[in-house]
Amino acid sequence: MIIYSATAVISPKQLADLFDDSGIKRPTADINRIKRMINNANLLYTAWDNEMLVGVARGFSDEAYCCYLSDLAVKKDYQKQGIGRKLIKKIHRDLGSTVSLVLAAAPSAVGYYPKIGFEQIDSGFKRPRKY
Amino acid sequence: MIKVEFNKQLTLKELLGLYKTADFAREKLDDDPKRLQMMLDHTQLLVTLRDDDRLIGMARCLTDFEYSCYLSEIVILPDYRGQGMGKRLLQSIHDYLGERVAVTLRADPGAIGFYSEVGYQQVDHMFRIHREA
Repeated sequence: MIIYSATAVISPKQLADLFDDSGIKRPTADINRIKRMINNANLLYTAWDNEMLVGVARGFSDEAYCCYLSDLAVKKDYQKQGIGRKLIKKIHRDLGSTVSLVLAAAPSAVGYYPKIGFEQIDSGFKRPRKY
Repeated sequence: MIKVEFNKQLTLKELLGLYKTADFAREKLDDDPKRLQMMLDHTQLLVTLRDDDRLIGMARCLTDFEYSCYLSEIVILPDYRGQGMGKRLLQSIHDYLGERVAVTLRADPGAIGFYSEVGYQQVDHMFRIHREA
């Protein structure tokens, strides 16, 4: 059974390994950066199979109007079981329906988000990071 | 003199005055002040633009200062538009966050040309579940 948590503390190594095992591209070679990504996100929801971290949703919210979901990652062996959907659902439930959820999907996931209730933003803009 | 400040004091009264004069976020004007104060208190990066003491612009960023930033709101007073103020506000956000942070936003239809000019690319992979109220 998968257990979900809004408060579990994870190590930079755990998050880096999860990113690598989920196929999502994140700067996992820079462990200090991963550490700051954990420390500076005010939302970090995790999914666990016993002691093993199998999913994470990381976001930043103003807790009143808007939440930006920066990373949604599920370990490859655990994908297509609804874990990502559940992580998002729990965040949305805790923030309430008066808070928008916004995200930029990885190219491989653009078909996924409409299936779990997201609408496409037609005037999205991005200034890419350099590294 | 016009100056940009980061996470400096901004009162709710000033913010609502800016929204109103700029005809921005009209739906927020009648919201519970507690909710608006919560928004201000929890915004990770609040950038204000002042002409002497007068608030003339504001940007509200949700970010981890490390990897991603979502520009949730950006507004300039009408009297100060067309003078490069939006550009200046964005540039100061870019300088503050550095090259390692990607910035994403949802543009108002009228501002699409503006973002293209200042180094943004239009993307079709952003999604949202919009708030109900």
